[in-house]
Amino acid sequence: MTHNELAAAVPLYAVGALERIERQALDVHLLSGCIPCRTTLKEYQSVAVTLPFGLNITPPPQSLKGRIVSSCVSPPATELGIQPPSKPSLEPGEWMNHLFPPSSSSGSSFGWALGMVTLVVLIILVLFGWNASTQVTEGMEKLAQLQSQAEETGSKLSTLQQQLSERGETLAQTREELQRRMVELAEIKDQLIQREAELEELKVQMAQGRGRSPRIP
Amino acid sequence: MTGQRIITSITTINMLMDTSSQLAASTIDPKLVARVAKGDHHALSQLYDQSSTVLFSLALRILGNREEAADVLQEIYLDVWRKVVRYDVGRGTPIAWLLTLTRNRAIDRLRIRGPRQMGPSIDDVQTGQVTDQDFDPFDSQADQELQNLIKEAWANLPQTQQQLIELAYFEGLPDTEIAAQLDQPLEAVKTCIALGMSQLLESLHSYWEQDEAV
Repeated sequence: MTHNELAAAVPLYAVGALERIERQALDVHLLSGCIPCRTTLKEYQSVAVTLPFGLNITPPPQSLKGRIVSSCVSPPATELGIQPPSKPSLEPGEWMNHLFPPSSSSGSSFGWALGMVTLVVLIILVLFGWNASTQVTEGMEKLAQLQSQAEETGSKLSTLQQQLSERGETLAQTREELQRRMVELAEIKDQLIQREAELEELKVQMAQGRGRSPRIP
Repeated sequence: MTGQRIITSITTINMLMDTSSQLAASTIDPKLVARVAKGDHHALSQLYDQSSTVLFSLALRILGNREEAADVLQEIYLDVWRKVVRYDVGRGTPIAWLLTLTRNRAIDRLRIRGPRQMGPSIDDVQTGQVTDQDFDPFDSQADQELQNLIKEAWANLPQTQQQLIELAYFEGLPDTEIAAQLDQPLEAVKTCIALGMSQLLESLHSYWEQDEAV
C-alpha cells in the first residue's frame, strides 16, 4: 500500500472499521515513524473517543459499585484463582520489590533479603575477579604471541639482507667478467683486422706473379 | 493541533469553566488512575463515580444488555485495580483509555455471543432505555457541554454517514462486513466513513478552537 492509501485509511482505523490485514499494515506504517499519519490518527481518535458522550446516557446499576468495591477489598487475585499477567517490564523503582517486598515488614524477612543482597554482591565480586584474571591471562598470552611474531619477522629480515648482499657480490663479479671479455674481444678484433691486411697484401703479390708467367718459353 | 492538544485544551478549559469538573469523566486526572493502581480505595471510588456512567452507556450501546454491560465494567475496574491493565499517559487521556478498554471488551463479548439486542443509539434520546428517569446522568457541566457538542456535530452528519460510523464504532463491524450487510460497494463505504469522521473532526475542531480563543 502507498502512503496515500494508508493515510486515507487513518479515519477508518480510528473508528475501528478496518479489517485485520489493513489494520496491521497501518500499524506497521505508524511504527515506521510516519509523523503526519500519527498526528492525523490522534486527531481522529479524539473524535472517536467523543462519540460515547453523544449516547443516550444510562447510569449503571446502583449495586455495581458495591460489587466492584467488595471485590477489591477481598483477597488478592492469586487467592481468588486469578493469575496476574506476566509483566513485560518493571516500572521505575519496582525492581526494589524483588529485594525488599513491600508486604514484608518483619525482621526475619529483612534479614533474609539482606542475606540475599550480600550473596548477590559476593557472586558479582567473584564473577568480576574471575573475569579480570581471565582477561590478564589472555593479555599475557597475546603479548607472548606478539613477541614471538616480532622475533620471527626480525630473523626473516636478516636472512633477506644476507641474500641481498650475496646477490650484490655476484653482480659485481659478473660485471668484472663482462669487462674482461670486452677487452679480449677488442684484442681479437685488432688481430682480425691485421690478418685481413696481410691477406690483401698476399693477393696483390699473387696477381703480380701471374702477370710474369706467360713470358716463360 | 494534535489530538492530545485538543483533549488537553478541552480538559483545561472545562476545568476553568466548571466548578463541578472534578466529577467529570472528561477531566479525570491521570494521577487518580495511578492512585487506583497503587491500591487506594478512595481513588477507585472516585474513578468509578467520574467514569462509570459514560462507560456503562457505551457497553450497553454495544451489548444491548444491562447485565453484560455491568459485567464488562466490573472486569475493567478490577483489572485497573489489580494492575492487569496499566494506564500510559502517552496514549491519551484516562477517559480515552477507559473508553477504548470498554469498547474492546464489549465488542469481544459481542463477537463471542453473536447477535444482540439494540441499545439506545447516539441520537435516540426518546428511546426510553434509561431506567432511572430521576437520575441526572452527567452531573458535571464539562461532560454536559461535551455531550451537547458531539450531539450537534452528529446531527449535522448525513444519515448514511451516521449509520456507517455507528456500525463500525458501536457494533465493531469492519468496512467489508458493512459493505456486504448494506449491499454497498466497499470503496463507497470507506469514503463515506472517512467523510463522516472528517466532518466530525472539523466541527469539533472549530468548537475547540473557539473555546481556546476565549
